[in-house]
Amino acid sequence: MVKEIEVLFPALQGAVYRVTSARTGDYNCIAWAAGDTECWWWPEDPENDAIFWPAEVAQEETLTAFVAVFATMGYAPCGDDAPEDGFEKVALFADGAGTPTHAARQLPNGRWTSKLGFLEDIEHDLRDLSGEA
Amino acid sequence: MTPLPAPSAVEPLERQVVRLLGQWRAETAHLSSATRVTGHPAYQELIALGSAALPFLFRDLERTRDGHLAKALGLIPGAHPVSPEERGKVRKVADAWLRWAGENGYQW
Repeated sequence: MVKEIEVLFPALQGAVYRVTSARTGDYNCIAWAAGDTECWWWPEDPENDAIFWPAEVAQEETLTAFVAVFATMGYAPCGDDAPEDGFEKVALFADGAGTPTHAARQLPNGRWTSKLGFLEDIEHDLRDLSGEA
Repeated sequence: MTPLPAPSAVEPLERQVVRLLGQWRAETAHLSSATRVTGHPAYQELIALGSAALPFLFRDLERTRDGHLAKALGLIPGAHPVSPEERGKVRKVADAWLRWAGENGYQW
């Protein structure tokens, strides 16, 4: 029987991944990549009090704005996803239109950690979350 | 034989709210985008139900502490009880709304 998480994220079927938290809607993938487990990070909706976005970053659903968010925390663009001593990497995902959809943070062992929407956190390989969700 | 009455085409409001909340949560569980979460048709239907739906939304909010209902709650009564310090903190947002509901005489 296919697990619900694998139905929602088909690329996980057959992948080596590990669930590392309980389900929660308290925070999302952007927050988790930024090390925050209390807020739901997303831009561009002044009518939605349930979302947080750093005040100094443009309120835009663009990769540029999402890169800028992580720049406020000391991250800078890099060339690849290979682990490097002394650096923590974050990967940003976007849909075909270039709208950001997800973020994952690299672990010291080279694998990645992601919060999946309102579901669990998982440890996975970077491309396990590629494709349509 | 007495014919059975025709089924009512009107769904009771509470059942409608529960159904829409269930659909919304099931179909947005995988999403991180708040735009897509609150733009979901079931969420928009909840907003369209108006103030009569508020007691049922507060009942759900008390049970789930799902602050993602904040946008719907804010648009229905036009109130914004969430402080700048609480903004984005999903559970604190839920608590702020439950406080506001109590202070404004809502029962659920």
